[in-house]
Amino acid sequence: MSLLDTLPEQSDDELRAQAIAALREVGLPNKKTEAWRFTSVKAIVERALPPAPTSLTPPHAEVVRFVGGHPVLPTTAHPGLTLSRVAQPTGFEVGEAFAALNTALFSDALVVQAKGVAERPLFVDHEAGAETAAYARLRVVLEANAELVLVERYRGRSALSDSVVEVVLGENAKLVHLRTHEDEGALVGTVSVRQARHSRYVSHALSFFGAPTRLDLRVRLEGEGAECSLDGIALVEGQTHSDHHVRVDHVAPRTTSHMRHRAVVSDRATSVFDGQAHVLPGAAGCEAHQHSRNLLLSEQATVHTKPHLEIHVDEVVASHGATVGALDADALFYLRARGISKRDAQTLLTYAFLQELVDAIAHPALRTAMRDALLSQLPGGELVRSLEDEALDFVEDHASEEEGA
Amino acid sequence: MLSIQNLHVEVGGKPILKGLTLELNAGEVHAIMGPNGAGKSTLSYVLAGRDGYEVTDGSITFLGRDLLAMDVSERAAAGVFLGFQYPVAIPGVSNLHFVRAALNAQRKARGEAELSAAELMKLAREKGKLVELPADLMKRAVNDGFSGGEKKRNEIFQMAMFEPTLAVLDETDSGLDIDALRVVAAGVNALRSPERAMLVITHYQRLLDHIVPDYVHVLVDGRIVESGDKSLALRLEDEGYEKIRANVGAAS
Ligand SMILES: Nc1ncnc2c1ncn2[C@@H]1O[C@H](COP(=O)(O)OP(=O)(O)OP(=O)(O)O)[C@@H](O)[C@H]1O
Ligand SMILES: [Mg+2]
Repeated sequence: MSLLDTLPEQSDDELRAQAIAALREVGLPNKKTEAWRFTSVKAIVERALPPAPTSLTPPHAEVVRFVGGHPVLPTTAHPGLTLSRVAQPTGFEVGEAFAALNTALFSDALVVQAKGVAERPLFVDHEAGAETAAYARLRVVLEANAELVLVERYRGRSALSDSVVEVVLGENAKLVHLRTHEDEGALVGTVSVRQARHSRYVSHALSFFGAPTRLDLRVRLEGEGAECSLDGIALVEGQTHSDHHVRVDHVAPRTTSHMRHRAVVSDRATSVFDGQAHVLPGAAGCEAHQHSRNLLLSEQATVHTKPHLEIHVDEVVASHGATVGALDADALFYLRARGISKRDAQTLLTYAFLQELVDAIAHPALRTAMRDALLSQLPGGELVRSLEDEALDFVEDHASEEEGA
Repeated sequence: MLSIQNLHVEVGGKPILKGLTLELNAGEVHAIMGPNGAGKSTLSYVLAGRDGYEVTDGSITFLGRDLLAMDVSERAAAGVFLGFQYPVAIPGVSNLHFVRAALNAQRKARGEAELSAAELMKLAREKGKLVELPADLMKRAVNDGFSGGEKKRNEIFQMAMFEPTLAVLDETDSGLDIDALRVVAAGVNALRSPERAMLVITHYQRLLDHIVPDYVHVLVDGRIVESGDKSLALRLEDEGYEKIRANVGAAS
């Protein structure tokens, strides 16, 4: 039995038919598939997990829920946004591998259209089932000059969550996309972004657990001056596995991409990062950066990291690099010698390692939420939280000193 | 208060301390001098409990407890403070937050109430004045981008905040200009008390002009080879270690 056995014989829809044909021909990734070398999906692929049936789930007032991959719209309207459910994937991407499987099998997609600047973030919660596969499909279209903050949270312990998010950004549009993978089951997700002139896409993806977690994030910078900033954090422990595959295509001139990945890997866990930027012919004056930093907290922890660049033009500003290391023994001893327990010292230093990417989240409430999500996974994380939450300042002192001077 | 008996320590299989014996009573200040590589910093690390320093023989008793059986942070809570020869930078962790976390961890371990932010700031203001540590240095990440002298001042600031029972200061004077030396020495002197003992490691007599020791010991090749009062430091300044080395060589 295989997951492919759950595909329908055929489909009237052209896009779905294409996806089915492609999957029949190529199959799902196995360990010989280059892009899946370090991430085994055998356990998932070899089960004929049925798509989750729709169930009557009460809507949330403000949050979009995907239950078993089926969208449940909120009862409150979001000013500036139009949310709609569609059954026909007209105009959608077919995708490859798990994305194609999603195209063939999702039931209803959620389409978000944004006009103007959305006042509030849009929250999307995914809850998948233990015995079934969830195929959530989300398409987010920002018209010219529109702005939106999208927060996606994947939770639960699913047999398989296979989601696809398509993002289309019009001229000068800006999307900030936060994603937390807190699902303790198998999670494969594709995010595919297309950007017009001077649009900005800012992504903060955070992965915990993962049996495995796989994120395929692809960005096409199609309009001149488009920019993307792609931050990823993986915090994996036990036997879990996180894999972030990120690819940016610089199609248009003067486009910019920044990729930063930080992984904290403990026990026997594994983190994979593959970051590619392709600067295509004709895309002059581009800037592309990929940086991966990895912290190994145990001898059995594994990291595979590969930031790379392919450049087909002359003038490009580019940098890439990867580091893998343990916690600084001198710093650890210094903290402990001042009375901080070993566990808390490790947590302080681990959080300090990640902090730059947390601080990069511009929205204060979301930054705090992201930090708390991270700290809840670190032993002794309360210490860092208590330190950060209380400002230590010499308020009066300052004033009097300045007067005196 | 502190009793070190026949201490033998190896680092990476290499013997560094070779039968060191030293007794400190409450209220005393002891200075340790000695050539580079003699094992002075090694002694300070063993007192603080750093990994990788293997005690192969001997004992250390602190306030009646077996110090060597205690964990690093436990020793700090019990009142041992090590002022580092090379203080470590911790990017991303603010100095004041760090001091508060450390102080409260120590207090908690001793069963004392934790300090509130307001109480901490009051204390920090008072102790900061003592070593003339500017407010912006207190707020910056721990030792990150601090000059050599600023780092040493920060060590003494922390010592003042923690009020340890035993302070081990490893070359607190190195890297200090003349004014800073006076400030740091004044900070140390302010903490001298009948309940507290200090072990001051230094290469230079000039620190001992400011922090006048009750005893001076000379550490050569992992052993205390001579002890005396403050005049010993003056003599060393004059004669160097050659003569002592020669005497030790002749005796053994
Ligand atoms: N981790 C280590 N591995 C190997 N040898 C070491 C290690 N740490 C210290 N040593 C050696 O131990 C000896 C004593 O070093 P220590 O730092 O204690 O000397 P010191 O008396 O403090 O010298 P200085 O006056 O230069 O600060 C030196 O020979 C040093 O090279
Ligand atoms: Mg030394």
